[in-house]
Amino acid sequence: MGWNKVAIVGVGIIKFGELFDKDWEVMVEEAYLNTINNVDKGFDPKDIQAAWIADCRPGAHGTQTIAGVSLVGNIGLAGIPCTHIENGCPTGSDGFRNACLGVASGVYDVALVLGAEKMRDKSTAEMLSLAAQGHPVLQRGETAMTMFAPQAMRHMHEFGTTKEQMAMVAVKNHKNGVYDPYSHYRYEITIEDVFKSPMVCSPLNLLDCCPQTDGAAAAIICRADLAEKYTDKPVYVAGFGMGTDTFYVHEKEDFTEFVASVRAAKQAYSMAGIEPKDIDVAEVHDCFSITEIINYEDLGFCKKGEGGKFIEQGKSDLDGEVAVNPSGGLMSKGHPLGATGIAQIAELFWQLREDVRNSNGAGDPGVNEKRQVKIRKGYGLQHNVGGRGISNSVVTILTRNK
Amino acid sequence: MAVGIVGYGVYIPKSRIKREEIAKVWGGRGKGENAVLNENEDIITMAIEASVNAMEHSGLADVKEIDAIYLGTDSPPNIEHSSIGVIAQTLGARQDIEVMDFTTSTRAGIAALKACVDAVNAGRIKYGLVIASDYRPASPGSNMEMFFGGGAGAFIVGSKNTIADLEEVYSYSGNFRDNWRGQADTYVKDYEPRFTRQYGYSEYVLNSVTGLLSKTGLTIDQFQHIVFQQPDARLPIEMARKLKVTPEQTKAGSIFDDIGDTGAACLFIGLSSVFDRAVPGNRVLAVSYGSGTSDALYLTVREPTEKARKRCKPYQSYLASNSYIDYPQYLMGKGVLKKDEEPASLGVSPLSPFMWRASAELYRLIGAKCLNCGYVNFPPSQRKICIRCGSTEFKEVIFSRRGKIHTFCVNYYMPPGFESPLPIIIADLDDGVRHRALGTEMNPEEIKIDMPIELVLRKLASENNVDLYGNVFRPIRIK
Repeated sequence: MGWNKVAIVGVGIIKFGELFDKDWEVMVEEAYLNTINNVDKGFDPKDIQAAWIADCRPGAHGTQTIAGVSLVGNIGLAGIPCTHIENGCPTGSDGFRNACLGVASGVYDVALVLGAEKMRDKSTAEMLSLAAQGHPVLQRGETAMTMFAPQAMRHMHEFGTTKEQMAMVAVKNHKNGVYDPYSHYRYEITIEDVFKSPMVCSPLNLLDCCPQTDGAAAAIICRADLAEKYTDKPVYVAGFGMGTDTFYVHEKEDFTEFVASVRAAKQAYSMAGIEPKDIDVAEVHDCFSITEIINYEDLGFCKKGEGGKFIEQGKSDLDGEVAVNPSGGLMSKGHPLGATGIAQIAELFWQLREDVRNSNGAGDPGVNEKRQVKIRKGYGLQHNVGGRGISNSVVTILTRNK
Repeated sequence: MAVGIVGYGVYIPKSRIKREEIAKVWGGRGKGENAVLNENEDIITMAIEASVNAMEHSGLADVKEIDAIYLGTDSPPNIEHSSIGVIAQTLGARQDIEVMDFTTSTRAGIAALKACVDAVNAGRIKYGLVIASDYRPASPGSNMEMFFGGGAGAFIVGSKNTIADLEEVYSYSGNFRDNWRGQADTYVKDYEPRFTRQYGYSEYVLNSVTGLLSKTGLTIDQFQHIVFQQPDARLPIEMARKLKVTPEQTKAGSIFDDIGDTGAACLFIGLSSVFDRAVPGNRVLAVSYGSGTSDALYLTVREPTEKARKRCKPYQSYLASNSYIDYPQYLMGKGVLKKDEEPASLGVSPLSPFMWRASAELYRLIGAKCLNCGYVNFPPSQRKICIRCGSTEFKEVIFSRRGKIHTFCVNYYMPPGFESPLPIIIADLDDGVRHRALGTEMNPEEIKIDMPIELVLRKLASENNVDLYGNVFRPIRIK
């Protein structure tokens, strides 16, 4: 029996992409409206008692609207408490975790958590200038790629993981993205396409990497015992965990795993009272192809060193042992940092309700349902990992089982 | 008491440009080649490598035995602000030492050497480190561009276990301008070489040498090795002819054809090349020149040259370790050819108190070894609690500068202000410490896990014309 103290009663996301025509504020408004307008039994915004806004790089959209007011002040909810969360790549999922803690504490009955990130209002060069931030010497040149690519090198060295296996992750996730109306990219690619794409950060080619994407996503959560007011098919939070690692890259002990993920997963499984084999569907952090392969291992879907074989044998396909990233993942759907984790939770909400066909009314139901995973045990797992030094991870386990 | 050189070391940058590459662009004839700097090198980084080699060669147990650091350069990064601070901190020198900057002339290195010998003679210091490091800026298309190269040499000066003693000095000077660089000038200038060769170099070098010979009663044929300042290929040869010096006498110290005019470092490198092969008892004549001043130095080679030789990284080994670049790459190295874009602004400016707090540990590579669990925490300025066990008691350790690559990547898409492609290396040093740094002088295709590498200080960035330094990995250059 899972923790199940908090239920998700509504989710909403916007079409991810290079949203040059939309302000950050407009993305937030749309995600919010898509959420409250798609609660099964209707929803009155006055029920929201507290809110959390997840935004990792508020400076990236230029207006520096950090702090809680950036959410509630833009959607007509000024007055209620609102907290800004920034926590690297798990920003969205950590925002969700904190909102869950708020509701589970008994202080709030209903809360809104919304993640949004503007990644394309600054030039690519400006976004990459992170490489000059942080410790001027020890983190000089450090970008996401330069933290994950060395993991790929070491994983290949120690376990014989291949470039082909990594490319298979990109191929699978791009294929899934075709069926997701919210996905940034909606086209299939081949292993050859990955190999032919430019070398970005060895051993990763361009198509081994997720794109730079604008996006927003939201969820309404409430005390589990109040869920029926809003829907007959709530999804419960069975467990969650957050793990951390040391700060600097040179302080890391193992370059073939993300120890933060291992720690987060252990907490989440224990809280949910389940094992990795109980997961039907997972939305995991595939910022790079190698990341998903290592995630299989860290999350316990396979043994250490066998992530490459796991993808090669189709075990993470939509009809595999555990369907991984049916939404297309970060690689196809996109990775707007603050929105990513919450968008993953939205996907799991639909998947576990076997309601992907409708996806809040977006897209062609006939196309959408091609990514519906067969739900057997009723559990879905959400995962992010990142931050400087790949030093934090959040895992959330959701269930439709009451 | 004989005062002289206890240890010596050189540094020659890896990149070389053939003078014919320059001639292809600007016309003229080019024979020989110049050693030139990468974008991340300067006179400070070269000085450090030469000094480390000199320390190693001297056999001195500890850099703390050094009582003085004198630096001669004609191309300091700053007109006001000494270059010695970064050098001393990287070497780990004491703070109660004498430091002196000698500049504004290509004889600045020899001026520093003379001053240091005097300080030892006066009994004020026991051991001094004298460094000459230079890479003078030459305008594209100028005469000087064809000649100017970069390099450094360093001597440990003392009175015990010398490998060469300074026996006599004779100087000759006057008011003469041949090359100059004003405060507003980016590049070194010259006026009329046909005039300045005849009345500058030729006049002053001839007078200092004849003065020295007369002062010592020696004749020119009594010197086994003679090293002239080498501003071009012709002047030293003409001078040799005038003084009846044989090619055999100048052979060991002739460096111009291989690395170019290294300015203030020329005689240090030439003398080092002589010491690499001289035998005890050899007399050596070294003659500087710069801006209307020439010093003639008479040295005698002593024991135990042979023994110390094993600890030496000879000039020839640096010559053999080279990489040829073309003219555009050369201009990029000088920062002359670059994209018109603002470099990514640094999160921490080189002027920030952050760098003042951290520079010693970052340059010298000082770690905090936990007395409880043995883990080496780094950087100590940020680690007062052991990240592995929580203990708060530490011992200071200096990292090994060599190790093997644990893992790495090469980033091909860097923002403005970064080298691209940029290797990022995570390595395990020989003492077990894991370290992460950028890579330099590496062919991306050849980087492999377990490849041996070494850490050297380089320039990482500049902001407000102030340079930021840090250690980077490079493949082991000289075994």
